[in-house]
Amino acid sequence: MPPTPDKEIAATFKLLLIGDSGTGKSSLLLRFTDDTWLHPDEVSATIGVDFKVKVVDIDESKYKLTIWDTAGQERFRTLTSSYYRGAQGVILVYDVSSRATFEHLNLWFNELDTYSSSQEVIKMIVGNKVDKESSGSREVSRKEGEAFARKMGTLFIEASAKTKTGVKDAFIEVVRKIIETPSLWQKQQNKTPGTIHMNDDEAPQGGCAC
Amino acid sequence: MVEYLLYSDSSKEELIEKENNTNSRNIYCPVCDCIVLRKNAVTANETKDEFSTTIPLPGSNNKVNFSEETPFFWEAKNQFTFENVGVSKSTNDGKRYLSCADCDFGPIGKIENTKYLIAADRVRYSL
Repeated sequence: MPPTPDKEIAATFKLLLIGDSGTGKSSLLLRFTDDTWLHPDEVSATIGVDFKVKVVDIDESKYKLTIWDTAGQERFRTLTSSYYRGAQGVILVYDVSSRATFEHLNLWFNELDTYSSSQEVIKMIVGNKVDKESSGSREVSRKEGEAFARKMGTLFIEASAKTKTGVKDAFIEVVRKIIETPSLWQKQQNKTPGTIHMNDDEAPQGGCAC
Repeated sequence: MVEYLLYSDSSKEELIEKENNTNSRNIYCPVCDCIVLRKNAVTANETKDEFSTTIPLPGSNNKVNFSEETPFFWEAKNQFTFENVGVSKSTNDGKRYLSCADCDFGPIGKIENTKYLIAADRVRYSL
């Protein structure tokens, strides 16, 4: 079989979505380019997306992204190092209408520090579900979110997978930061891409980790 | 309005490059304008296989009626062969399906023994 004609692809990046369950990570992954927002009941009635491959154009270059969802494993705390391995960008999601999910970000940062293969990995905190503001159920202010992100030295954005606000921006901003940090990816890209990615990304395949 | 070639309006000869058995045209989602595979990226795999149309993937899949038997599959080496694709979590019987990365329409294919297989009649082709 001939090689994939992807010469115009400048680099391939692995992005992860982490955070408590119910914060809307799966919707963010669907919403990246999708026009239909699914009601939570609909989401749970479907087989979720494990990961997506997406080609994005940034400053006239093409980048291939693989964006991974935690597959609900966060409920059982069984995310393993294979999920984190090789990731250049991590999006930490909390729900602005649930203070607990915001406070748990500390645990997610600990896990990230434990398993991440590089200290330079680009992190972004996403305060999701800002569409709930109108119903008065916000529990974490934008200011608090921003202050925490500053303290952790990460990017920050508020988003709504429901109204599409900020979702694409969040992904693109992370990718831009990765591009600006060549030490994070240039070494890896020079190796045989096929081999290394297969091992990295296919590891979490398959059934229950219980 | 972008125009596409449908499987039903074409012949295998029009879709498969004779010299190397690969796809002679770009492959697109059956519903939206998302490109799934570039030309010459995948090989034709003529294994006959049942393929259920009623997998509850997130995107609406009732817009297109497909037959239960796919004429042939396009086989991709791995996920990086794709321009854009969504890969589902495992179903209860351990199967994984492929969908459009933009509109989540699916299934347009499946993973079988680590092979990525795209149903030839569930995608559209460049003219």
